[in-house]
Amino acid sequence: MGYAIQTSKLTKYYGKARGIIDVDLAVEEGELFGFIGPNGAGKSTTIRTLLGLIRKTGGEASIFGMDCEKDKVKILEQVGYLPGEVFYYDNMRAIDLLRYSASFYKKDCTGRIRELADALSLDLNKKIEDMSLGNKKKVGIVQGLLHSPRLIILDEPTSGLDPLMQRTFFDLIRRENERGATVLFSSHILGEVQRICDRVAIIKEGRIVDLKRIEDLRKNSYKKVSFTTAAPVSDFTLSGAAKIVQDGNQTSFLYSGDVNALFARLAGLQLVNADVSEPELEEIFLHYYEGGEEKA
Amino acid sequence: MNVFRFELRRAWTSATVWTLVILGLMAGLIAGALPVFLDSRANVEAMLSNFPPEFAAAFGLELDHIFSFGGFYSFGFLYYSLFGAIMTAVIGLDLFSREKREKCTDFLMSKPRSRDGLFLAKLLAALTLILLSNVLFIAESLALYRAYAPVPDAPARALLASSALLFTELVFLAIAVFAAVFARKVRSVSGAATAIGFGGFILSALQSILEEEKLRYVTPFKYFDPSKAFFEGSFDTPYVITAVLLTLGLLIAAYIRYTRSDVPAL
Repeated sequence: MGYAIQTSKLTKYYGKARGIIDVDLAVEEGELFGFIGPNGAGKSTTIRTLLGLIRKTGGEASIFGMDCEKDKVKILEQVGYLPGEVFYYDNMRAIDLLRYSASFYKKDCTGRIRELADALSLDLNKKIEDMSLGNKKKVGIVQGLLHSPRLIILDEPTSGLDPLMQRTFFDLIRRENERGATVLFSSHILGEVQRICDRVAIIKEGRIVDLKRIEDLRKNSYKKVSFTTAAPVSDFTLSGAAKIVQDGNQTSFLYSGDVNALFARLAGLQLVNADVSEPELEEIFLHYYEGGEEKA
Repeated sequence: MNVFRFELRRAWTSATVWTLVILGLMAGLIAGALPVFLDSRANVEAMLSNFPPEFAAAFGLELDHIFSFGGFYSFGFLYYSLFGAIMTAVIGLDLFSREKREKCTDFLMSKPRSRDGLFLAKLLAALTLILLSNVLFIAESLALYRAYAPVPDAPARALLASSALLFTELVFLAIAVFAAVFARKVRSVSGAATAIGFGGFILSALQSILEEEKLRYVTPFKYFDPSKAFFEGSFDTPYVITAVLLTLGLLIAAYIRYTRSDVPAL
């Protein structure tokens, strides 16, 4: 199967300011692909370059084998995009905006608009500026999906949606995926990426630092270890342990390496309690960022 | 075509209102005031002689010609073209800063359309509104000429004179499109449009007072002189060339910027 998105050494500078550097991505067709990193890491820059909203400084980017700059129009016919913040024209009802949006595609989207609006319980006759943030977001979702795109690009899509709506939204996305659509899902909230994605790329300060299957990321890499001892352990060390936090009798850390070595080390302590568990993605994620500056 | 239709639908009301204002003003001035004005030539001349000549010049009064249809038409023309310039600036600013103002550039630019196509659709919509407005303006001008000129024997010259509004407006359209595309932010379309219109008006008044020919090259209101069209049957070629170059230059710069620039994230 071909790649839905492929970039090689994709680079973008805004003047002298760093956008992204040498980003290599290969998203397979039909995949639910997560893209995580804190604000300012370069998620949106990557997405905006793919969409032709900004011009790359160097490297290559293609969608369905077509060049993102040269074949932009052809690509966009098959792409649905939902930005993080949704703003639309003043003084328009949702249905007017959606009809305008549909008029850019060579197919009848009326049925699909109704279907999506029903699924999200969105009132199409309301003016968009009178809507709550959540409802505006729903207009954005319908707008991004109404032409049944082959590739769906979501840039921090869930802000403003209540948990119940988030679930409906994820169901919608999953259904689109089952229909065959590829999904690129960018977020700084790992829980949601974990919930829906197959693979995830982690971006930090403009560079991709890791690319993993969600399961591998959780299963094979890190354990969350915490234990309580009868007396405080001074300066606990263990090769393979990261983010060691000691607070009185309690010690916790992330561990990657041979489990036997871990238990051998623990066996030498006067333990009161011990806990070894799968870490939340969030914690794994922090591991990639330790020492690095987070920029807002 | 969908972008063209969308822009027309959103911009036609203000264009209509401005067109009605211009048509009403011209009808009022010519049908209402011209006959009385022509009858009272002696009184008017006596009154104007009490003012310094710069005063009359600033308001577009050319004493040699004012007591004729052409002269009076040209006097009023400064005001029609002021309103026309504001109308065009509103159209240009409105269409070309719409997505920027309403923060939905992402929406439009992630649709399957080339930026060339979007720019042309918007420009075409603006030109359509301006042309329709001018068809009405020229028709009314000719009708008034027929009805109120003492000797309406040069309709071709009247046509040329009234077309000055269209040409002047095209220059202002280019200025407005350029401003809309290059501005970081457009807060108020009507405010900016009024500023552009009155800026041009002040330049025009200055040029009339100083009678400095070089200043005329930067005074869009003076590129197409209806008085010259009426009395000599042509516009001044150097200024026509200036107008064409300025208009094309601004539009090309705006086009390049619109089609090449990065769309900033919100």
